[in-house]
Amino acid sequence: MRTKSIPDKRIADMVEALQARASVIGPKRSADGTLRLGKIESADELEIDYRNSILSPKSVFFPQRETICALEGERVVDVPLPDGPIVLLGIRPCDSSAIQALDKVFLESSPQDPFYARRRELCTVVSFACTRPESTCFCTAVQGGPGHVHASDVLVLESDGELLLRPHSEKGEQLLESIDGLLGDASQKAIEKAETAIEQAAERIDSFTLDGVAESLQGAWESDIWTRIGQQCIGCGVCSYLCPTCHCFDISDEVQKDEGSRVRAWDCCAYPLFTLHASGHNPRASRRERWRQRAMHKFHYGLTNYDRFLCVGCGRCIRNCPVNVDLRSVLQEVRS
Amino acid sequence: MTANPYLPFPCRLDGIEVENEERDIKTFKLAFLEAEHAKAFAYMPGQFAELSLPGFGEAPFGIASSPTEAGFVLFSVKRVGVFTSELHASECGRLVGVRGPLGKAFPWEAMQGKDLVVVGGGFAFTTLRSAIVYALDEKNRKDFGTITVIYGARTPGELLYRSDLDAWSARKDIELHVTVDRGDEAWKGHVGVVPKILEQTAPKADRAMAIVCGPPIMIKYTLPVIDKLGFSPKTTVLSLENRMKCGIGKCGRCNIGPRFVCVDGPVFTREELSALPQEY
Repeated sequence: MRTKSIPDKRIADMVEALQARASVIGPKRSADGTLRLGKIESADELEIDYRNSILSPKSVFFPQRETICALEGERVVDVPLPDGPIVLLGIRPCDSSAIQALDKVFLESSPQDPFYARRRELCTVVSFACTRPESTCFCTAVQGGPGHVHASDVLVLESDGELLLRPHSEKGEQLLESIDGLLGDASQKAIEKAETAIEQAAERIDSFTLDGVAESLQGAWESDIWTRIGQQCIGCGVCSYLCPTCHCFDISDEVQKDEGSRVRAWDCCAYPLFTLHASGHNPRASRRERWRQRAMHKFHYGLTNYDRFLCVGCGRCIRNCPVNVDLRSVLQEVRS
Repeated sequence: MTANPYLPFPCRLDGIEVENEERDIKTFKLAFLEAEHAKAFAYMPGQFAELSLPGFGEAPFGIASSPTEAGFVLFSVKRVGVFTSELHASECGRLVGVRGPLGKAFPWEAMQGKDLVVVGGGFAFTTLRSAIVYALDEKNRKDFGTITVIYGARTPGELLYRSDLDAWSARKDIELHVTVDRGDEAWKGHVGVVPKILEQTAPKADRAMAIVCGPPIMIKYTLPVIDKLGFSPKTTVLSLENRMKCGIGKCGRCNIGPRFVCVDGPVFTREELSALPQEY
């Protein structure tokens, strides 16, 4: 299908048309003024003039807390899978890349996770190319870019007074067909303009390379850098919770009287209990080992196991670290 | 659609055996409620499973029974935390969830036709019991050369599976050396730590494979002896433990370097381990 176009003033109509067939999740302003992803209740809530959301879209597919089995007396029983179509509208290419990273863990590694698989199946991902990268962005260093498609079914490009929509999968084609009455064909001029804006955005993104970082990390197992970062880090875990690719979780039982749930909830490698054995032994006893694990997992083990970084350069961990740990400088130091 | 991999098979607690003087290790005999679940739980010695009780959570344990022992599965569990304390307080008839089998078994294909040297210490003897029962089974015994077992505990009262040990010591087709760190008046067997007894026994390494499981301190002093006897990194097999939740390579905590103990292990050859960081 060719690139389609919709004028800005008809975006609300598009959202309404999508709402008729699915639950629409997109960026909107929350009461505290921050930009978050949430269910779009009325079409004018959708905010497209933004850099990136505070929280990543990973909870759409992998909720922070989710029941994986029901507990009924002595029995552990199955629970129904999620239902109802979703359109995830307006995420950035970095977060779309993160969905591909999560796919590696939950979809492409056997056994599949049925809860994640169902949500992916139910969801059509419409991402917006990025023309306003932040100073903390580094997608181009981690196999991404401001106009990359990744897991997106439709990629939207911004041009003067209009949005250009490009399908990249069957799901994406179907979505555009369903709102075809609202769409025109994009002009070559508009496409060129949008693409130029993306190229310019790419040039503004922190230009450094991570070539060979996995090998450098392998050689840096005993490096002093982990001690230093470990001392700086306070182990709060905000980096993991905001990270669009962090997929580690805990499983615990929540029971009242005889009824309850076996629940999985996001967990974090920065926490000492994460790896604590019942014997008291802890293979990652201090923040030194735990920070090393974080860097190794994302930039070394990811390449070994999934042929990709488990980082998308969204910069959330850098922007929100309370003690100003900058992942980029850690990696640069390891490489040098 | 994929079946829910977090859903355990319901099993009935069918037998409880107190294993040691300390009374903090019990062997639980579990029977599947459904025949199809018993069939689906097709395992080999070395694998593990997640046991659970609603409200008390889930934890991983090596399978202590052998697939040649049909009709039940055995797990030897030390009382340490919330789940294990509740399991220890349980009586026969209670339902226990069993999720598995998980992980890789001992390398049975590579061990075929070889002499087996089984070296174990303390509580880590559970999957080794499984391996020995399996190898001694009349259908399997011909697949292996000599079988040498060196098993140690702190005191005679801490030795697990005493009826099995008695039965094995009465057999001619297994060389069993049981040792304790400190004996008592009744003890007539070896006294001394596992590596010392291994060195004295000196099983031949040239067509053998060694399985070594035990506490870290035992492993540390046993591996140099294994080297001295001539076992290579390819013919020395270890089984590791790490904290686990999912058991299926997703929850992210049991990794050693890029490998997950739950799916890439828990059984590793020393050769495989030599490529991994020493973070366990």
